[in-house]
Amino acid sequence: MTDSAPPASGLEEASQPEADPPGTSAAGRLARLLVGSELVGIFSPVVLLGLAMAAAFPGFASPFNIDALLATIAVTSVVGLAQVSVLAIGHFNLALPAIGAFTGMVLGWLLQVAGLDWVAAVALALVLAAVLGLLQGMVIALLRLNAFIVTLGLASAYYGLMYVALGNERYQRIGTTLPVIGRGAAGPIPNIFILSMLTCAVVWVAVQFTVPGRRLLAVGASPLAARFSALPVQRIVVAAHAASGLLAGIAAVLVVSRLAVGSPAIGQDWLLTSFAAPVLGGTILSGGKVSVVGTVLGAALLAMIANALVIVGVSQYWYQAGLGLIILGAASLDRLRLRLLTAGRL
Amino acid sequence: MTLAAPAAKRLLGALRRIATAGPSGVIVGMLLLALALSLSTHTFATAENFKVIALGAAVTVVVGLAQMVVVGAGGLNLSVGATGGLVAVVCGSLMNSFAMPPVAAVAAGLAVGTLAGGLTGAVIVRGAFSPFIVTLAAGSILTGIALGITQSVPYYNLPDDFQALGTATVLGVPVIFLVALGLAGLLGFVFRYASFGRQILAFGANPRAAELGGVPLARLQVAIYALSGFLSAWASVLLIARLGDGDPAVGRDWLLVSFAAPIIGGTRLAGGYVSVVGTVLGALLLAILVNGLVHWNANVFFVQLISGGIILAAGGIERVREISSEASERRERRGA
Repeated sequence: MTDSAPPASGLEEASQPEADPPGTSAAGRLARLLVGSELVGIFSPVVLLGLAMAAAFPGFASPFNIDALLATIAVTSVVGLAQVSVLAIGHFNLALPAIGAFTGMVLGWLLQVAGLDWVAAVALALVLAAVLGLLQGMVIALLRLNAFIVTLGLASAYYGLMYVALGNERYQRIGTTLPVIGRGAAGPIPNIFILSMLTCAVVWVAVQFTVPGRRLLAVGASPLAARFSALPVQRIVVAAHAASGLLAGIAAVLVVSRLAVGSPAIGQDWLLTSFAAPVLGGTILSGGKVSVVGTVLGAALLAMIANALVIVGVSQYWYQAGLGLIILGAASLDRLRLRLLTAGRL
Repeated sequence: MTLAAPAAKRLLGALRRIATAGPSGVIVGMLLLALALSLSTHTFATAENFKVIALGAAVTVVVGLAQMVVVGAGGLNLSVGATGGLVAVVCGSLMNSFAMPPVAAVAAGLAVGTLAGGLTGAVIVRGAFSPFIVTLAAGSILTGIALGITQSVPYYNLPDDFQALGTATVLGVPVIFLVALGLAGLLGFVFRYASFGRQILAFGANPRAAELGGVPLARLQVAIYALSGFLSAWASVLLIARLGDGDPAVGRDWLLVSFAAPIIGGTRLAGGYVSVVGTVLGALLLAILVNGLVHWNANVFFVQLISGGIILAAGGIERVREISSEASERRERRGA
């Protein structure tokens, strides 16, 4: 069950009755044709909020603001997908912020202290991120420990290791090439947004069309059934966590290239949005059903809300409270979707 | 899992003995650690330092209990720290901005914490949501409110008589540590003798069976999260009495220890079994460890690394416990 899931026709009316007012029904229909009807629930508010903000505040559609907005969406999308790859098997990854910080710091160190070429540094940093994810996957799969407690413990261990090895450093002399790429843009579209969307496209293809992707969802839908079908469940669990680590690493590289600094603060605000974006977009928390396109749209909605609050002048602290409410709302949708899905299938 | 090699078998046997030793295992670990510290430093085994350890452990004990009551019911509460932060702000503002007497401010703080927990429980019950996502969201909401009210600026210098309580001692033992022990004693009584405590454990062991046994699940779950909020609020009150400031950052680093203390002490992560004594001892062990690393002049960040390792080890020990209880069940079945 993914983006193109069939029993979704009755879903969007039930889950988002007000999401299809006459004014946007054309856009809604278009979206339905493009990515399957289920995504209208998240697509409509993104469009509505965008139009409303653009109409009310001229600053919203300014090139500067669009650039900032797309950069945020770029990072949040990849962070969301990092969570999605373990949500697919019904796990949580609480170590995403730690992996992000660790990768960002090591990238900074490789560039500033070790003096590595940027390509080699980025490649090594991504390998590290994948290894950190792989490690937690192996602890979970081989020792059969609870995924929650393992990622909680390893998050602390990763932070500790990072600080012990590199200290509370800010690597700001990371050369020119990476920041030029990260701050550059193709017309109105920042480079990191393009890189992020390429990453998302790869994930989408992997989930939708490849055997490992389908196996991931099979394990999430029912680990027992997957085992009885002779799927290598443990290897799939390890792979899901490794992919999660790698995606967190990619997000960290995007942040470092954009801000031109490697610091321990990278990733500190990732945890909530990593759950909010996928759940807003229709990924089910208990595993077996993910939506890559929905996650990107969820990230877009979160970024636009944060951006709108800044423009309106609401303190970022209240945004945090609002984010909690958004997650609760998304969880309600999640419930409803699950109920309708089961009802439709039985 | 093949255990062909006798060495592996012996290792597993040793692990199983450690894992099933219960609180006595924690006591042995604690004594060994204290012994090593006493021998290697001359600043550890002093009355003054024991007071410092007790001051730190007081908060950790209550934080661990706040998580333990939820874990015992098979749930988890990611908003323990956020509740602590909001309660710190509520108490701070009532004492400093509204000049309320500390007793009234503390009572209000405890009420807010209990209410926040109860609301969280109600949302979980009403939506049949996973506690993970609801308490994650609740944590964000409570932290947002605490930071929004204060704009991240603490209420500095709480009233002197309140601050005095934070460092006061009775016969050399800090008052806040005695309060923590009192709360632990109360919980121990609840879990041993009160039907509420038994119902929590029945629910944690098997929700379906508990429901069929006539446990009012909805009301019970609201009560469990309210109790967790109440205990989180107490932890916050003890901490701000010691710090002297109503700081919204209170609770930011509670998540890890809130799980570590009960799991080290033998509380089952899957629910159905708690150990109040174990949680108190687990918190003491953590407090001694943090204190010991300071005396060993270790990098402060080692604490983070080791805490992570400890919680993994605790998770591993729980897993060994599970394996050995499964094995003994199998043996019993074969014998019968």
